[in-house]
Amino acid sequence: MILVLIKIVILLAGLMTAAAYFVLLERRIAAWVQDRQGPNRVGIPMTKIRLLGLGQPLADGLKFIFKEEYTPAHVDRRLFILAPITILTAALGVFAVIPFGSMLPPISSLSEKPIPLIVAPGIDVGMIFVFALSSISVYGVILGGWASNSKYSFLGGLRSSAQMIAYELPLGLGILGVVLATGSLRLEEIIEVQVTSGWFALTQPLGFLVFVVAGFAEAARLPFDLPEAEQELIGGYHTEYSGIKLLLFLVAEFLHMITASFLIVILFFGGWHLPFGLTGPDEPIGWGFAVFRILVFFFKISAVILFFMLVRWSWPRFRFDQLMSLAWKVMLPLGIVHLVFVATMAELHHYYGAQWVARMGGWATWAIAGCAWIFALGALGLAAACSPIISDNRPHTET
Amino acid sequence: MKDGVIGFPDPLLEIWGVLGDASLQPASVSFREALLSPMRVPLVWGILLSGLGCWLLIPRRNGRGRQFGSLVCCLGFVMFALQLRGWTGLSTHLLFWCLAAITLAAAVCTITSHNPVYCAIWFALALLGTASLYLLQGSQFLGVATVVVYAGAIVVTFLFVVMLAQPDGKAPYDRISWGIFPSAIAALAGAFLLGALVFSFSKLSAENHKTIHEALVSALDCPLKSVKLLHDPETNRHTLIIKVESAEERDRLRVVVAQDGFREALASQQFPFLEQGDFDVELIHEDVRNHNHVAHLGAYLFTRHLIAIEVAGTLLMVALVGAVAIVIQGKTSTEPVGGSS
Repeated sequence: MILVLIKIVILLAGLMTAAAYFVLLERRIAAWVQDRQGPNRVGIPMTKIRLLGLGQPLADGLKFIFKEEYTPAHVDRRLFILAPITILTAALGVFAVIPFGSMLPPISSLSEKPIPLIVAPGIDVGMIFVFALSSISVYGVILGGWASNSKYSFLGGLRSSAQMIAYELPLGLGILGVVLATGSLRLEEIIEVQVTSGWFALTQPLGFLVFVVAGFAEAARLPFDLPEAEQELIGGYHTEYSGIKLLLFLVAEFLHMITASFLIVILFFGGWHLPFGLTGPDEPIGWGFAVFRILVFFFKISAVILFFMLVRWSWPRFRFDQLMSLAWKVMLPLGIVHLVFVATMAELHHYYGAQWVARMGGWATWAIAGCAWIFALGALGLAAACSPIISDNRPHTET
Repeated sequence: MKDGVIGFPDPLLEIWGVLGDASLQPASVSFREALLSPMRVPLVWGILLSGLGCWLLIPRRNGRGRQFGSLVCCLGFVMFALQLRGWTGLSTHLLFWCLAAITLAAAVCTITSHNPVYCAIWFALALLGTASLYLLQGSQFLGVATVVVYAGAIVVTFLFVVMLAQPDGKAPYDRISWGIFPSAIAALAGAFLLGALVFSFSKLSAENHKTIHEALVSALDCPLKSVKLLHDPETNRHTLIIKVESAEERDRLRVVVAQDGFREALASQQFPFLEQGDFDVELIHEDVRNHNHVAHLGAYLFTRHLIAIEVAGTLLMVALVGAVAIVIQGKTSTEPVGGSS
């Protein structure tokens, strides 16, 4: 009981701090890409020590808290307050089933068994749980847009929730491929399987692509940041929000990105294990291995987050009809085709797997990965040849 | 049944009592007694009060009496809870009772809110409450699937439609178009439905049942989560379903139950079927953290219910194709202004 509470406190504090410092990192990277300095001033107050601007998140947080929290008179007050709370609760609740490390050795005063670094260990439907809570966060967006009682907010909310609902399908299809290959919905087990079968980013490239694109869209990051779209809408569904409520929305958005990075690493990059079987699940549970695994895990996650931030300044934003075409005409068919491919492979493996491995030896994984890559490139080529995203944008008349 | 007195629960028992064993049902109570001593039969008061409360809460032309209605409705639910007393203790199942209260309150608010958007939100809350009750019972997949399918997809679609159709939210005309009488009937029907459920569950808490639980605890000498008695009328065999606290406990008790001493210890109690020793014992341990939960569920669905699953899937596919067909039908071809290039 106490152990669970300690884990929850560590997780919440870690996530909130991480979100704050990733904002700083994002701003510094933006500045680096645009050849600026970025926020580098705030250090220790009353001295001239700058510390590379590491005090900036604290200052931002204080500013958000002490800012006037203005609630417009025309809003639906109850739902206006409910919306940011819903979205943040859903974003944080997801982490109940996401492991943030492997096992810790038993600590005598707390537990006699090894401690799994996950708030709800052994829940068998972990993957669907993540999916369920991320679908709850749509409520925050819709309600925020509607309760503001402003046309900009409402349109932003509708656009954004349409986007989130549309991309939930390819997200699920990307996950399904992995689940089919591992035969489990538990995130810990998915990590363990990848030690022997190879990272799914290698063996299921098409699913990986679909999942990453859908993950970007779910987290509403550029090139999918239609919900915000600073230049077109005033600010999307949170136009009317200010102060701490706006902060909740922004933190939730960052948490979505962190969740997506966790999932990408767990599902496709082997979690806390090194590639090529350098580390495996057979290691003894000890402090050394525990810390090493956490370091590997968080290194991978940071790399994915860095990728998210670099993509932000490398790609222009989609137009809304392109966004929808991409979801329904490209990503969804690709996801289904990929699922069929994985199902076929799984069935072949079921019948001929043993002979195959006996004949090929260590090359079996590479052969499967090669097949998957050829298939993925073919499917992508076909999608490009059909080019459903390119649309005639001139005004139309009915004939 | 005494002459000249209407035996109140008897006709109800005939309808609802098929499920259980006759020896477990409470003794017949006269109609007047049932109405006047709510502590004896709180079910009747529960139905009446919650029905009245819901009727007062339902939006009407003049919105008076809503506070009173919510109070009465709460009182009715408390009566239902009293009927279920002894089934589960308040202290041991605090989480269950909290979630149940939230779910029920949200469900009542769903049908009594003026604003359709609020209705949808309350509905979503009721679904979340239901999902957490499923989780509490250890059926993880059902709980999570409820959230994904209902709260995550269906209610969101409702919200979309409501927001696009009535951006102002309030729609007085379609909420008050029902007369007083139909709404009263509807509220009472809902209350009766709930009452029927409560009644069928409260039989588990009948006095006899409590004694069986106590007898089993003394015979097995360990705490038991719950005891349920099933009776198969065809073979006339009784089955005791015992839920225990842990898997080790279950394995230990399996041995105990198989010994003759166990049946002898129970035979001294005054239950006819126990005396004959003519019953089966089933020991269950429901681990919420069941590692093979989904695998078992999938195997069950795709072997035992394969045809049903396939038919349902085909039906959904047909609906999808139909929707696409309807959309295509109303569409006219368009051409860019100034001709195509």
